Formats: sequence, C-alpha cells, structure tokens
Amino acid sequence: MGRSEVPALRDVCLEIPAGEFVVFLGPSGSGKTTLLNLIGGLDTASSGQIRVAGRSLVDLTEAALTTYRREVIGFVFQFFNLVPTLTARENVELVAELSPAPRDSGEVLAAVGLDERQHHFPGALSGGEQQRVAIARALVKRPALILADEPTGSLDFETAVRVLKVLQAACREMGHGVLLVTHNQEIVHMADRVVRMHSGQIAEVLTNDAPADPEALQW
Amino acid sequence: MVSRLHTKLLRDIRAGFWQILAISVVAGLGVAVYQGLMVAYENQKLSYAISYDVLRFADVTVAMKRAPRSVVRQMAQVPGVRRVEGRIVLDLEVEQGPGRRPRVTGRLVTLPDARESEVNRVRLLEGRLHSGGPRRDVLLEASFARKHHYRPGDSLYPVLEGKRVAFQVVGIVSSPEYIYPVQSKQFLMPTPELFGVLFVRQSQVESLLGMSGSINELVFLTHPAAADRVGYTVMNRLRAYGAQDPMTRKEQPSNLLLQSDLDGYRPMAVTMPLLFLGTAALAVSMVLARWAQAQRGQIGFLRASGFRPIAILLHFLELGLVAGAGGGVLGSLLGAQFARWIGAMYDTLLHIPFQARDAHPEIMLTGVLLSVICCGLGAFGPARQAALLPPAEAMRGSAPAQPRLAARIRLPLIIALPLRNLLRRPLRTLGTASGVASSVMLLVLSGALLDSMDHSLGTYLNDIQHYDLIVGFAAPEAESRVYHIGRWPGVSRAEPTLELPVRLGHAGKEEETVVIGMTPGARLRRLPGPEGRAVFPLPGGVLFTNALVHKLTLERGDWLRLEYTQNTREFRARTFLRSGPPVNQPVGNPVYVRMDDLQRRFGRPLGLPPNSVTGALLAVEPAFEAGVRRRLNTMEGVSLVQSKQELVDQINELTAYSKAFMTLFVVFACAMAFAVTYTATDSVLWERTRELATLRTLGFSQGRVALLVSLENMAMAGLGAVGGLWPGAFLADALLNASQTEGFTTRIFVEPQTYVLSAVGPFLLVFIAQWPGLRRIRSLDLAATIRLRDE
Repeated sequence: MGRSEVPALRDVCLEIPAGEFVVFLGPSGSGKTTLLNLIGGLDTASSGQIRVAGRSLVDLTEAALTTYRREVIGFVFQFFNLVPTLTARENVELVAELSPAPRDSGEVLAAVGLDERQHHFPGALSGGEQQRVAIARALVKRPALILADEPTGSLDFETAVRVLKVLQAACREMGHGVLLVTHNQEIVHMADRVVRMHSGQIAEVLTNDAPADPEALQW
Repeated sequence: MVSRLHTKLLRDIRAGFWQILAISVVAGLGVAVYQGLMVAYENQKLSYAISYDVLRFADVTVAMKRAPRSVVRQMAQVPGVRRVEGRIVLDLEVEQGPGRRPRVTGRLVTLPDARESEVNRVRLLEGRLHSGGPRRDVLLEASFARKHHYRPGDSLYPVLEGKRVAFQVVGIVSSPEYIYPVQSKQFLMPTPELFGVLFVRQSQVESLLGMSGSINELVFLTHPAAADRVGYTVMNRLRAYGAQDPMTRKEQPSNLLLQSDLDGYRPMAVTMPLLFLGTAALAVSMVLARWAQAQRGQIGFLRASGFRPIAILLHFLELGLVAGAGGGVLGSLLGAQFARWIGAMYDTLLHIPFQARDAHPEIMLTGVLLSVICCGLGAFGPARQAALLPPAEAMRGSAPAQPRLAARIRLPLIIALPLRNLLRRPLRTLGTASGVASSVMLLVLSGALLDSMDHSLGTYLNDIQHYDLIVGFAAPEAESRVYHIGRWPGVSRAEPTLELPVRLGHAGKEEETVVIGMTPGARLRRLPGPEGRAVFPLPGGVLFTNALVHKLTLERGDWLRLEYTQNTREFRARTFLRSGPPVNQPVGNPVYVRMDDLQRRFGRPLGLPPNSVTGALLAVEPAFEAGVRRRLNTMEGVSLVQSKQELVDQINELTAYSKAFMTLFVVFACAMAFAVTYTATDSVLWERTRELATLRTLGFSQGRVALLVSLENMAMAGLGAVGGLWPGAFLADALLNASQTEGFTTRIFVEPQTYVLSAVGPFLLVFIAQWPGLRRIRSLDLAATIRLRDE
C-alpha cells in the first residue's frame, strides 16, 4: 500500500496586527497547532507565504529559522517542557542567554507571581506554577510574539485562569503579541481576535471589541 | 557566569552520576591497560638500550677454537670496528658445596685483569670487582647467584681440565649478555638452577687451562650497520683459528629472547586497551542515545527557543567528553600503578643492569586523549541525532516506534511488555545488547587467554614429558651407559636421548634449534600430532613443531636441511630429511628425528663415538627418586639432573607474570562487564522512570515492576551473551597468534566453564546492576515524577 499525503492546512489566508491577543479555536486535528508551528518556524509550509514582523519564513534556511525563533518567538507548550534539572529561575536564565537584551529573570518570575518559587525545581512546582515558569521563560527574551499551544490544556480552572491572566498581561502591559491555541470555547472571550479552524481551514475570523478579563471566564 | 546549558549538563551528570562513572571506569580500565603496558614496554626497551649502551654490549661476537691474543690488535684495524676485546669463554661442570645442587653447568667468561673490559662490561650489584693477587676470585651472574643463594665470600668449584678448582665469590653482577640468562639459542628459557655464568680474571683461566696468551672469542663494538660486515671479515681472516659464524647482537640469545618477549607483548598492549576503549565508546553511545530519547521534549523546546543544532550537539558531546576525561584521569592513576607493578614483575624475573623507571607523561597524555576521543566518538552519534531532531517532532514526545512486529506478540502481558519494548526500537536494543556483548567478549577473551596458557603448559608437561628425571651428560656417551642406569634399583625405565644444536633451512629461511633423537618405542617423551594422535619420526624423516611450520613455511613432505651450528673445518655435519606431520608442542621448537638416523647422519661426521647419546630420560619409583638423584649426582660425566617437578616449577616461575597479567585482564574484564551492564540496565531504567512510575500508580506492585524490568534486561543480556561468545574466542585466537614468542607457542583453548561463566555472568550482573535503579524507582515521589512531562 502506498502512502497518501494528507494536507494539514489548506487555503489559509490570515493577517494579524502586531500586539494582538489572538485565539485559534478548533477541535483536535483542525490544524491549529500546525498553523502555530508554521508561524513559529518549527515546521515549513509546502506552499504559500508566511510573513511575521516583516520577515518571510518560506525561503528561510534551518539556521535562519533558528535565528528567527531566537529573536522573534517565545513558546509556551501544553506540557511546559521545562528542564527538570534546572530550577525555575535557571530555566528562565537558560533562554535569557539567547537574547542580546533580556529582561531580568527574577523580575519576570515576579511578574508571573513566582517570586517566592524561583529556586524550586520543576518537580516541586504545581502544574500552574510550571506553566507560569514556561511563560516567564518565553517573556524573558522580549519576543515580538508569544505562541502558546494549549497552555491551559492540562490545568484546572483556577490555575488556568491564573495562567491566562499572565498571558493577557504579557500582551496588554508588555506589548507582546500572543497567539493562543485552544479548544476551549470560553477562552475566546478574552481575545482581540478569534480564528475558528476546521479540517485544516479557517472557518471564520471574528474580532472582539471588548475582550473579557480572564477572571470573568467560566467553564 | 556559567551558561545554564552547562548547569543542565552538570545536573544531568549529577543525576546520572553512576552511569557516567561506570563509563569512566570502563574507559579508565582501557587507559590503565594502555598506559601500564605501554609504559612498561617503553621502560623495558629503554632499560635494555641503556644497559647495552653503558655496558658496551657487543654488536658482533666471533667464537674461535683458539687464537693468539695478538689477533685482538689486528682485528681492531678491520674497517667498521670501534672497540674489540678478546676473551676466553668456556662451558664446564661446576661443583657446588653442601646444601646446593651438587653439579651445574657453568660458563666461564674472562674479564681483563687490570682494567675494565672494552666490550661486554658487567655491573656490580653486590660485593666487589676482581682485585689483583693470586686468589681465585669469581663474579657470579645475578640470577644464578640468587637462585643458589650465593653471597660474597662463598665458594664454588669449576672443574677445569678434570680438576676441581676452588673459586671464591667476591661479587654479584649483572651482564648485558645474560639479562635473559640462557645458555644458547636452543635453550628458550632461563634455567638458573642448572646454568650459571662465572666471570673470572683472564690470567687465572689462561694459567689453569694452559692457554697463556690465547683467547677463543672476540667481541666487537662496531660503527652503525657495520656489524655483519665486520663479523664476516673477522671470520674469514681468522678461519685458521677455527672461527665460527659470527653472531650479531640481533642473534645473541639473551637479546633475541628479550626482543621476542617485547614483540609478543606489543599486540597485547595495543589490542586490549582498544577493546576496553571501544567498549567505553559503545557504552557512551548506549547511554546518550537513551538520555537523548528521554530528553526529546527538552531538546524540542531548546530548538524551538532558538538554540542552534551545534549547541545541542556540543551539549550531548560534552557528556561523552566528561566521561572520557573522567576515564582518562582514573586510568592514568591506575595505569601508573599498573606500570609500576609490571616493572616490579620484570625486576623479579630479570636482572637488568640499568632499570628505566620513567613515568612517560606522553603516554599518560595519549591515554587520556584516547579516552576522551573514544568517548567523544561514542557520544557523537546520539549527540548528532539529538541536534538534528526537528523541534516540532521532538516536542511530540516519543519517537515513532516500529510497532508491527511488537504488536503481533500475543503473550501474557508480563512477557509481552518487555518483549515489545525491545522490539519497538530494535536498533537501540541492539546497541545496548552490543554493550553487553562487548563485555562478554572481553570476558571470553581474557578467560580464553588464561585457559590457553594453562592448556598449553598442561599439554607440554603432562602429554609430552612423561619422565621423572632427565639426565644430561657433559659430553656424548655410549648408549649402553643409559641402559646401565636403567638397571638401577627404582629405575623402572631409561630411554636414551641425543640432542644436538642445529640450524634448520627451508625455502630460504633459517632457524636455530635443537634436534632430538627418539628411540623407537619411547614412552617417556610422547609427541602429540594432529588431532592429538601420537606421532613418531619415520626413517629419513623429521618431525617439527607447529611454530616451525609458520617460521619455515614448511609443509608435510618438504625436504628440510639440518646443519650442525658449530661446524668447523674438521667436523661438519649437514643432512636433508623429509618433513612429517607437525607436533603440537607449545614449549620450545625442537625437531625430532629417529635416534639411529641422527647417530648415523651426525655422529660420525662430528667425530662422536658410535651410538652416542647426550642424556637420558628416566622413570623412577617415587620412593627411590632421591637415591637415584644422589647416585646420578656423583656419577662421572653427568652434568645435569633435573626432575619433572623442577621443570614444572621452572616453567611456572617463568610464566607466573604472564599468568598474573591474564588474571588481571580477567579481573578488569569482570569490572568492565559490571560497569557496562550497570550502564545498560540503569539507562533503561532512567529512560523509563516515568513509565514505571505510572505503572506503580496504576497499582503494579514493586515486585511486578521489577519483574518487567528484569525480563527486559535479561533478554538484552541474553542477546549480548550470545553475541559476545564467538567474537571473544576469535579475538583470543588472533591475539595469541600475534603474541607468540620464541619459547612459547600457545594455541587457543577455551574451557567450557569459561564460556558458561561468560554467558551466565551478564545475567547475574544484570540482576545486581539493576538493583540501585529499581531502588530509585521504589523511592520515587510518584506524584512529582508523573507531573513532569519529561524526566
């Protein structure tokens, strides 16, 4: 039996203004993570154009994509991907080393509410705390764009809200654009823009003139 | 500030400390073996070179029947000669006082009366050198003196012209000619209990032998590469004085055997460390592959954050380099001790006039570098794989498995799970099994070397030599004398033996050895042929050892030239005999001819009496042995009496250090097998901590988890054991073939228990090695472990 190619994304056309909080919503397999990976330079598209902060990602070499990720993107993942042998602060400092002008790691951790926990190892932190370390790690190098893939997917409601507040603050107060992938319908209320995806295509794009505070969310 | 990637590295090392240490130990053992053997090798070479240089060891020696001393001055004019000394050298019987073996063979070697010798000087170890005056002083060569417990002031009695003459020992010396104190090239091992060298003043020997103003040997120092030319010029000019073929330094018996020993040593010094270091590289690769697998999520994140592939590559490479550096340091410390130990072994075996004891920092540094390079090479593969892992794929967690075969396994879960784990990533399973296989290989290899040595000596001592006493005559005697001894009370059998030094020639190659005459029906010396069947020379035929087959490129049916080595103008003996089947004789390289053939072809041309023999082999009832010995010792014309037990002791003493080496290799191989097995099992546990913790949270008992892990590890050990047995035996064979020396021809032999222990050992080691890892899992904070996405 031969292998058949299944396109993860088709006919996607989207423009996102800088500094917005954008939520990509859709069921599993709808292509939202693939789109996020393309924007983050983790995957490359077989055809089409992707431009982020004035750069075209299509023709970039692997080395150039690495530089792009280093300079432009901050990642937050569902399963945190912390280095378990480094403390919270060291995890942040690890990424800070990549930036020519990073934020102070301690201050960033304080900003995400982990001032007291910065010398703890990931194993000693709760899931929410680990995710906030992951956000601090993304923030420390002052990325133009934070890409968060299901950042609350493995968290309980209260912890998730806390994480979302940190992400919203990163957008509103620090000026980072945030692209958040989720299948949680409630989260769309806090977004500036909502991109609904289905079967590898954009079903609709909605703008939200009055984004909600995460604490007002319910699920 | 230390980069956080380095902090991670340090913490990873701390977390996997025992694995890294185990790898370092394996590499360290390789470095220790390399450094120990190479330093000892270089020091031995240097010791010989210094001793030869300082004591002016002759470049060429020409023996004559007798010549006037004036030839010394004439020969000094021969082009290429730097220095020349004339001397008298004479083999004779030496009687010893009470409490010592009554009679031994001595070699008198003269030294100038009032000055140091120009060539072949001696080094005083104890007492003093000769003084002037009429007293008969003798300097004894150290190995003989030590064996017979001589001290300055003791006396011994050479028999000169039939007269027993008392000499007083004034000093114990070492000599460059007798570092390996053998009587001639035909004697392949030192026999200090039977043979000793006595250095006496020239004038005293001249007067005792009536050789005033005469010499019978010239020793030369020559200009570089002039030794052959000088030797042949001198021989041709001194033909009238019975000059024999010149003997260059290369052919000098002691030097020849020392070189042979060194040559046999080198393959071991190269191969063994390479095997250890290769295994260390494999262990590094095995551990890092699993670490990289366990850290896929972290690698993915690092790459996603903008760390370049080279940073990931270096990060993992550094782990290998750290293990290698650790191995280098451990190995150089252990290697220095090892080298000292080998040096001390040589000290007890040989009396080298000047001992080099250099530390050889260049060898130490090479050892450390080899360790770092090998571990670095081992780390490179998994490090490169980690570096090239696409970040998106890395983030997805586990690598794509190959589940087809694994999925087909329909067995109880407790068996299916471990089997599926092994089959899911067959390459990695093979990698880990290779680590175990390499340790099994080394176990078999070192065990086989020891077995082969024991077996070879056993063959020589038990299958070939069946006598209780061997008797040597000072000069050839009539065969009837042996039959007379055979009628003594307690002597159940007496067989004559005739031994003559010969030069063998075939296909343009020559080899000096001894030809032994065998009487039909001989039982006290049996010759095992191909497949162990006893063989006996046919009329006109000659039997030779397996070693000579290679040295002379002989085949059964070839004509072999035998020439007496001390041919002179008056007596020359040379004959051609047809080669029979090879004899499996591991010690010595004699050739065997029928007694009547040898007597006819050599006896008459050499002017020997009819039916001459040079000794006898005796079977003696144990109760009578001491009495028979006493009687033989007082018998006129008997120069040697040696019991089988003395031969056994002599061989054991000589091979003690080789056996100690082999035993040490076995110990090293066991240590390495444990370290590798520990690394293999612990890295499996390390990689699967989260999975095993999950099983425990699901309600699997600690025992069930241990059983799952044990079955997987045991299966891996089984694969390794099967994979390591044959290569181990193959390597042992190759190494033995490359390490043959002049005196010993060891053939591969592996005891069944070596195979069994080598194969079973890994299972036992797995059981022990996985215990710390299982303990770690038992004491895990399950909640914390499961909370972590990546461990």
